[in-house]
Parts: sequence; C-alpha cells; structure tokens
Amino acid sequence: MTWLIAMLGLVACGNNGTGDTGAAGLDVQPLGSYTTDTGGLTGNIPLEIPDGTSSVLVHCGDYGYDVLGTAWDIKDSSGAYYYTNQYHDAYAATQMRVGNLDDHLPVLFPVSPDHDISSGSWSINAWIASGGTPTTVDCEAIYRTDPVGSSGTIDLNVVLVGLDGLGLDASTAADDADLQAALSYAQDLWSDAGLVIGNVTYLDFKGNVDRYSVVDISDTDASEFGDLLKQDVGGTTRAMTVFFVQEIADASGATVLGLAAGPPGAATVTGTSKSGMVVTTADLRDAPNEIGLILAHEGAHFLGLFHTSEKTGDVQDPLSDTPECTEASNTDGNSYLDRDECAGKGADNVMFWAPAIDISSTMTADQGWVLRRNPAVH
Amino acid sequence: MPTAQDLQGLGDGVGAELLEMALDPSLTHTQRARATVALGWFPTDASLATLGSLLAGSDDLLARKAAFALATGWADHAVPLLTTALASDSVQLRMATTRALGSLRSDSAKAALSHRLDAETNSAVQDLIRAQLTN
Ligand SMILES: [Zn+2]
Repeated sequence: MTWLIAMLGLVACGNNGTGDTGAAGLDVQPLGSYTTDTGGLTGNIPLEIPDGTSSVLVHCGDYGYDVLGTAWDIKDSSGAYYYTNQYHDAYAATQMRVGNLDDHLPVLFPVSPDHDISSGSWSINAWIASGGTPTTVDCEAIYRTDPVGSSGTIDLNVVLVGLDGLGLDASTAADDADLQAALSYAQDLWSDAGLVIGNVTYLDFKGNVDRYSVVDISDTDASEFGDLLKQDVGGTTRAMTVFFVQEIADASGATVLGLAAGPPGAATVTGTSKSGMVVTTADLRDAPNEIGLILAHEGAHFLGLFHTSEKTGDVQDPLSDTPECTEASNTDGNSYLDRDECAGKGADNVMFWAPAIDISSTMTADQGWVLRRNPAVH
Repeated sequence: MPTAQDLQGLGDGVGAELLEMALDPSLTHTQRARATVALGWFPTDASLATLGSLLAGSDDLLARKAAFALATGWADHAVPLLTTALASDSVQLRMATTRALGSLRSDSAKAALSHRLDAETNSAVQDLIRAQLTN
C-alpha cells in the first residue's frame, strides 16, 4: 500500500487595488491608467528605476478572472529588451519568466541573478488578452531601495479562517504547538536561502467565514481564491499574508494543500487577487511539518520562485544553479515527473513541483538571491 | 492527485486498498480524503457502504469527500443519500453536497437542490445552490 499512499500524498501545487506601502525602503509610484489596443497591449508604461533599486514589482489590474495578463516586453534604460514574450518578434529563449495570470498582473524582476537590473528609464508593455476588447487597467510600481544582505526577514500576516474546529484563532495561535511547529519547519527550509521569519501577526478573518473556510477552485475558475485574497485583513503591509483555511478543494472534490498568488504575488500590495497565499490546515494535527513545507513552497512562489522543473519537465526555472529534470526523465510514461524519476535532479528541492517532507529539502544560492530581493523582505 | 485513469490502470485490488486507506487512522487526514475521493472511481457495494457512513459521520472533511465520490461513482443513484446530507448541521458539508449534486446536472439532482433552497437559511449555501441551479 505504501506506493499508493505516496501517489495520493503528492503535494500538487496549483497555480490573484492600490498599493499602500510607503514603508521605509520601498518607493511606491502610481503609474496611471492604461487602455489596451485591439491586440491587448497597454503600450509602453514608463518606469523610473531609482539608484540602488534591488527589485521592481509592477502590478496592473483588475481585468477579471476570465482574462489572462502577462508582460509583452520590458525594455531597459538603453532601450534594449530585458524581457520578451514567447510570441514577440524579438523573443529570446534564455531569460527571466513572467506568469500568465488572471484578473491582476504582478511582474517582478529580477527573478534570476543572471538578469540583474540597473537604475534609469525603463518601460513595460503589458498584454491583457481580452479578445480584442479594450481593457483599462490601473498600474503601480514598487521599487525596493533598501540594501539586500546575506540574510533577509519576512514578516507574516497569518489570517485564520474558520478554524474553530481546531481550536485555532488569533488568541490561541501563538501558543498552538502544531502551528508553531509548522512555522518552525518552514523556517528550517528557508534557512538555506537566508530567509528568516520575523514578526508574525495573527488575525481572525473578518469576512464571510462560511464562504471562505473551504476555498473551492477549478482549472478554469479561481475566483473564490482571488476574492479571498482581496479581503481586507489588516496586519502589516510589508509582509506576506497567509490565509489558513480548513481546506482548498478542486472541482472533483480533491484537496489541494496550498495555493499562492502568482508566481509572483503582489508583495506589499493589499486588496488584489494576488495579495497573498492560502494553506489547507486539514493535516495540522496529523502532520504539522507538511503544513510547514506547504508554507515554505507556496511562500517562495509568492516571493518569485518557480518550480525547479514543471510537472511534465517541459519548462525549467530561470535559475542556473537549480537542477533540471526534463521530459527525458519520465521513464514510466505517465503524465508527470515522479520523485524517483527526478532523484538528483531537483526532487529534494523545496521548489520541486511535488515536494515531500520525507527528504532533506534544500534550496540553492540563486533561489535565496531571488527571495531576499523581494519587496516584502527586509 | 493521480487521475482516475492513473489509478484504474494500476490493476486489480486498488479499490480495496483505497477503501482501507479511507478508514486508516494512521494516515494523514488529507491522504484519507484523497483515498475517499478516489473511491468514486471504484463503485462497488463495499465502497458505497463506506462512503455512506463517512457521509453521515462526524469527520467533516471525509464527509465532504464522500459526497463528491458518491456523485462521481453513483450519479443519480446517490441523490437520496446526498439529499440527506443537504440537511446536515454542517454548513461546509451542505456546500460540498450542493457542488456534488450540481455536478450531476440531472433533473433529480436539481429537484433536490431546489427543495433544499426553500428550507436553507445560510446565505452562503443559498447563493451556492442558486449558482448550481443556473449552471
Ligand atoms: Zn508549486
């Protein structure tokens, strides 16, 4: 039965205002409204990247859950392409990655030390694929201008949604041994990356608990997930917001253990469908380390990391020091890469597409480089 | 989560093992939940009996999974059991059962949902029933 348990234990990972940052070390600049042309492009949106900027987060929205948005291109201060979409005439295969995201588009760069940035007049052209219908989006840029060290701190807003059955709310969370074990395990996993959990603010969910304590999603409809992330939770702005719910369930009724906005999420931005991540707590009493693993994996997505290799092996992350597991490793011919097929090729990395807690999980130097640059980290 | 084809392709005995897993307290809650959902792909009398008792049991997560498995494996034949679950005290079970019935899209499932809408007092469940009825 062990093999069947392993199959059923795969941690499959799924794939959503205005900024109110102003925290020291962040320079928040409204970029205005842009209406797309018939091809869905906003045209060049100017970005004035200040001296000493370590990362840039541009976000535009909202454009609805039925529409996907991404970056068409990004130009640096010399006018050269820093990024081009795969359908762009100037597409280059070796570059950073940008997500294709519904409703609200965060674009974070750099997401690899191979593609660092410089200050000056840049631009981004966003592609909102609304089928030729002009779409107006509001955009904002967040420049992280404080220094990035070998260690970075991420504060957390932990929002507890309908967890009375676990005896868990904002008044008990700090003393809940299992929740603290989960946070501690996430900390262990992130320590390879030089990422340290700082202040944790526990918050009771103030919205519709009946609607959101079980979050229902499907391959084509993540609106309940996005609507939860839009909720006003209070807490700290320069932090990552984590909603702990009873369960995330997919359309077949199957349990999804965690789901982050992005990658990347709209770090330090509140009120958007990309403003946080959600973790299923069904195993909190059975396996708190599993909750910690989910937090570490999904949190890293939110902060800008992709899977080392995607599920089928056809797409790799943009980092040069992470192992690659390609389609050639799919020796059993099923629809995804198994852990044993990727042994030594990323299966033990926190950002493997289906990470497991029964191994000594690792992260690489480049993964840490990206995580520590995120605007939510200080 | 593996697909129905993945599991059915593993050969004989998988349904029986899933049944054991669904009831095995040494497994994690979500492992049991996934086994319970997968029982819908192995519709035997034994799994029907187990799913019926999980649906009426005190474990809300497994009851929700049983609702989906019953809809997957038994379609309209599961409507009477699911109709009972629609009157559960658990809001989340009522919502999961509403989705499970909604997935059937049949007249009998819609009749069960319409009937429940008359008695339902929770606005989140009411909204979901209306959404499923218009799907
Ligand atoms: Zn993932």
